[in-house]
Amino acid sequence: MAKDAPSHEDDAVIVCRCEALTWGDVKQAMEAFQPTSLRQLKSVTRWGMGICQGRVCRPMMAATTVEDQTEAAFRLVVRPPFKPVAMNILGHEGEKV
Amino acid sequence: MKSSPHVIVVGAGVIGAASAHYLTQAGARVTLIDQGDIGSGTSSRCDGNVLAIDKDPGFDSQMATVSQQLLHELAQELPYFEYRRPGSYLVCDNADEVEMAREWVRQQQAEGLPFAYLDYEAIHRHLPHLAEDVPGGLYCGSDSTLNPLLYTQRLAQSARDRSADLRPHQPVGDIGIEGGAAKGVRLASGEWVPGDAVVVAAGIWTPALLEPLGIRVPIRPRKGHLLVSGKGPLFGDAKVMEFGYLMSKFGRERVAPPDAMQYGVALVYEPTASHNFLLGSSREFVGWDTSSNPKVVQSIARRAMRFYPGMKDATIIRSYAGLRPWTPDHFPIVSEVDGVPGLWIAAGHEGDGIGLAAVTGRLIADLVLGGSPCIDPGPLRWNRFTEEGGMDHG
Ligand SMILES: Cc1cc2nc3c(=O)[nH]c(=O)nc-3n(C[C@H](O)[C@H](O)[C@H](O)COP(=O)(O)OP(=O)(O)OC[C@H]3O[C@@H](n4cnc5c(N)ncnc54)[C@H](O)[C@@H]3O)c2cc1C
Ligand code: FES
Repeated sequence: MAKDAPSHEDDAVIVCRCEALTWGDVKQAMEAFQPTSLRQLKSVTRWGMGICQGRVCRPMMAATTVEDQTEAAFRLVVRPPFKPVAMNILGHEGEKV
Repeated sequence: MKSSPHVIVVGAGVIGAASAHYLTQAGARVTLIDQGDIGSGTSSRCDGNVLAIDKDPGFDSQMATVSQQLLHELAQELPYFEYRRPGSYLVCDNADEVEMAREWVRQQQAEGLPFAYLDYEAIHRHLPHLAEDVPGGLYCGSDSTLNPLLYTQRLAQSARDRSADLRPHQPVGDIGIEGGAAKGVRLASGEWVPGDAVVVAAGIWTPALLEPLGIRVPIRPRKGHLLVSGKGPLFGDAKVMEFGYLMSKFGRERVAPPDAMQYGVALVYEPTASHNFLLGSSREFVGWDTSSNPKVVQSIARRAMRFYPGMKDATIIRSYAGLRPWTPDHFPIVSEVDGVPGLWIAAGHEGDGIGLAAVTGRLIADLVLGGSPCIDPGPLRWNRFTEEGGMDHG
């Protein structure tokens, strides 16, 4: 039964490194908001909103029990500029130097 | 209306969620329906500014101020949604703007609002990261900020706690009219949901829901981009915008680089509770596309560095765009539809839906349940538009 009853240690596991989010935080949010998609879960926990944009934590979050794990729910996660970029580079891209 | 009427709210963005919150608080039974998740529309693609600083003296600023007060109460009532009240600043680009900013502050102070003009020395004392050549600015003390994603969820959660029925992932096909009155909605699944009143809070999708009934409202999608920084040093704790976009209110031309003019780009700097900041904003009519345009992103970054040269080393980790529900006079529609009892509209908040959600939700509850309205609903009537066009700011 150990599998069905997660211990406090499980709760302390960091599931999103960038946002310092634990499995316990996720479980709490699942209970409080009853999200119906990973996207909605993201908006209440900030999973996937860190500097890696969910590259590290997305597989972990797929272990949650939200209903909508469709392609679309994932696709919303990564947004341009895709890689972190310094503003002076962003602001002058395409210009001659 | 029955003592505990059943109100169907179509659209669970911030406006529908706030309506559901206040309706259930006043004792109504509510079904809150959305085609996607709770908060999946514009309310999750925006900033969290709750502003009076850019509102015209009179009804505009009164509505914003009442909403700020209601929000302040909500922040005590609901669980945490990163509500803070740091005030906000407008900064000037040039001498012409300084002159207009002084005038703006004079008008607002005459209305008794907490505005202050800040001369060169004062603005640089308040905002030490600003570019040296910024000539002046102003401050509004009542402006607040919140996390719009969390806020929307909290409002919906509060309605659910008072037994509202939340129906995510259920597109509404038709609004049912019987004997001339709104009697319920038909879901795309075929299910019929009967009710005593229907509130259409569907943001930019509102015209599509009303069109089949021959009801036309001039709400159009106006695209806006935001940039998100990585965690790192902030450039101050309060939000800062540029005065430039108010210039049209004074019938003056805004002076800004061509790219900023082309994409309607004006500086918005918003530090968040997560130790990063958001940068905005752009204003464009380019249809329904929410993809991020690299040219606009670049223009926003440039505009930010004009005011904050130190940002050149800051990191941007993503950008996104949302569609503001624009109306010709930039006021929302909060009104019953004449001739169709029980059919209500709460939509068209353009760039102010987060800030105006509280007053809108409260007003809907007042009007639908027959209480005395918290503000004069006259200027928000659905049929006030005789033609498209008119004042275009905000
Ligand atoms: C870049 C940007 C920055 C912004 N910054 C701010 C800010 O700082 N402060 C501020 O106050 N405002 C800001 N706004 C404006 C604010 O985001 C909007 O005014 C607000 O989110 C509108 O809320 P809404 O509930 O009317 O619309 P939405 O959030 O779009 O909600 C409408 C809902 O209706 C649902 N729906 C539509 N059709 C149907 C159907 N047929 N059946 C069922 N459901 C349906 C949709 O799925 C959607 O969830 C900003 C907007 C943008 C784009
Ligand atoms: S680990 Fe979650 S965003 Fe990077």
